[in-house]
Amino acid sequence: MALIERILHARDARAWHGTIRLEGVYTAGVAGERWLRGLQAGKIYGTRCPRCQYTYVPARRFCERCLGGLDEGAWVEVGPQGTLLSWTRVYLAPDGSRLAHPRTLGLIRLDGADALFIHDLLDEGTPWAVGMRVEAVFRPAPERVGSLLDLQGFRPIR
Amino acid sequence: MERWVYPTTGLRPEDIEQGRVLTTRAPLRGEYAWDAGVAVGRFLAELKNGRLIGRRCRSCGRVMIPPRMFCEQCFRPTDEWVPLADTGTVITFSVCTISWDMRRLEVPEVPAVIAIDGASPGMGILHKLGEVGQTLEEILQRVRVGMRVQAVWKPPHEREGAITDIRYFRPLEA
Amino acid sequence: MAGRRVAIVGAGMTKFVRRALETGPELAWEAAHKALESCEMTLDQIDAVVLGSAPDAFDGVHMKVEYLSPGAGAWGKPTIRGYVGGGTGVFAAIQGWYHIASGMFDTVLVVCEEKMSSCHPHPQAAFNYIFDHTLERPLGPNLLWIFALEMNAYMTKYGLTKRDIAMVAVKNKRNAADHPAAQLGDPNITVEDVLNSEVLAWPVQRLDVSPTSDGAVAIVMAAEHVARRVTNKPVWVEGVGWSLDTQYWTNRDLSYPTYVEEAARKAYAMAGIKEPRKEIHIVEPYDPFDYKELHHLEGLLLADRGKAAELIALGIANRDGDMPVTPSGGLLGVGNPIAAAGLMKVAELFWQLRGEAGKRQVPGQPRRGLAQAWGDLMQVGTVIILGI
Repeated sequence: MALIERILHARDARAWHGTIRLEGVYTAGVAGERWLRGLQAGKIYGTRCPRCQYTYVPARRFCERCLGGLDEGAWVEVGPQGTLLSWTRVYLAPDGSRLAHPRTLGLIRLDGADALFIHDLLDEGTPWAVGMRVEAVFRPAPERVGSLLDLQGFRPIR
Repeated sequence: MERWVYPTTGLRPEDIEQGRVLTTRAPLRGEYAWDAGVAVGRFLAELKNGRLIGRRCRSCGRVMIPPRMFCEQCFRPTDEWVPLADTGTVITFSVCTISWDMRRLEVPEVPAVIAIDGASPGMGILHKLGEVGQTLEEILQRVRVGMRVQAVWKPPHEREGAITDIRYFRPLEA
Repeated sequence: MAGRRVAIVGAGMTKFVRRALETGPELAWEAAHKALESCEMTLDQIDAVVLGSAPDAFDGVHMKVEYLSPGAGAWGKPTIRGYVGGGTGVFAAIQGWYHIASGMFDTVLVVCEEKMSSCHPHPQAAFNYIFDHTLERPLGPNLLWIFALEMNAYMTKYGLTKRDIAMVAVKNKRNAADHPAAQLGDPNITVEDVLNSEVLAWPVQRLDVSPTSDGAVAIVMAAEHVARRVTNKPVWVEGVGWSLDTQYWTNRDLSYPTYVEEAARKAYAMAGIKEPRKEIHIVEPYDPFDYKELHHLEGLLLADRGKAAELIALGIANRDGDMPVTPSGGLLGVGNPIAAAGLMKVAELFWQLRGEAGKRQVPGQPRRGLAQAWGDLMQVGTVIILGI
């Protein structure tokens, strides 16, 4: 026995409209706070797990492999140079509209790190290639606020 | 067990408001269009006509409001529409002095669960009471569990097929 | 009892705070790390992970459990999420139990986390979306309505006063003063303080309500042959039960939590308990509001309907009474990070039964305890019975 009456025209299907409106305010965390302040100071830090021999970037409070804590002694400077492991060029905005200027993103292994890092690739026109050596470009110091965007992006090493 | 409690870092509101810790913000903004469904679609259409309607399951005999096309207790389709009255009895009520985001309201609201006449006993709907006072004290004087109430409707041209086509329920006694 | 014997062998938790600097994964890690440390186990000895966390809206991250998973030791492990609102904290322990009882896994790390402070303008706002979008939300409801309506129904049916109920808030907040992780412990609070606190949605006043909180709790569960190697005081899971009532909350009898009774009966049957009032030595019922503790004690069949308040008034529910209720300090005193709160109660029983609860210790060597959690739209009951 059918429970559902077939509605032949979409306009006859009643819908109730509503919105869900909340704002997320996210702290950076114990490790994140310190890592972002590092960016503000023009440095990229990681944390190294001595048991697993693995260096995380961005720096983490704990190692997910062994659940050990990564304390003071685990903080190491990494980069600012690294190797490009992958890259892509994006043509669409999150809402599906076409970007005025396509955006290029890179997946980078910073020197001294094991975890991979994503950021913008600068210098349009560069023939990006996996394996290319790249270097971090920071914004001028007065413009840095303790944000991922204190880094402008990465460009080929000159 | 004190050893097994981690000394988590608590923050004060000022730490966030004054930017002493770094934060990022992102709105969670979802726009939704929920299909009313067969049962609620008809319920809304009847509200526009100034009527409440329920649904009967012949197996357990319940006349249910809000109406549903299946009985969740017998787990079978329900059988027929049942017109209901627009009067009822207050099962429980509250006097709410704050808004959804914890700000103080000027005039308290009186949400209530109201058993609708014609539906099975205890079949309540959520709505609000009105014409019962402007302050907490007045309202507590006026409202009682078990009180008889009557729906106050918007005029026909203002109704849109919504639960708010009923403005509120007011006391039936003088 | 279905399946193999399962024990809790370790527990750890964060402090419960109004807003933490830690991210959700860091909170999960703090609790998980302490839990493993407490029984000297390492992550590679854990076979599976159960993660409990309630609405994604609080942490503000979709697929929240995947987001939390690194801190909960879930990397590379079979992992499952349980989510029944506030009932999650006890439900996660039940999930841990059946992972092991089934014979599929020998050890499970159960982690429950909530970071409510991310949700603005106020965590309360996320609860708005629990109401029916078409028939209830247009009325502009807020969460307090549901509790106030239920509290009034309960008070009216049994002729209870605010004073009868406020004693629960006083007992729990005072108990919490002895809990090292507590957010709102207060050794000096009185019934007058509660009765004089700001009216929010009558009959609910500010001190009737638990806070919003950030926090995490973790426990380690193990099959018998592992448990006996890890500790000389394993705490056994003796009974579990869970039940869900109708979503049509306005059609229910709000003065009695049928869903709690249904869950409790299953747990009592499994544990072979015939006289719960005699056989349960400590109860940790869910207390997001003071009246809920009474409501739940009745649903747990530990008090006659309408009579739970007498247990509090007569001192029977004190730590040194005949049936201590919420010796931890509960949600009212320790805090209410939604999913973690129920697991806090399970951890409390673990420490109490092993004699490790410090200043909160119930005297007389209690041997059996019951923890109960509750959530969703006032509709889920989850119960676990532990014994030593």
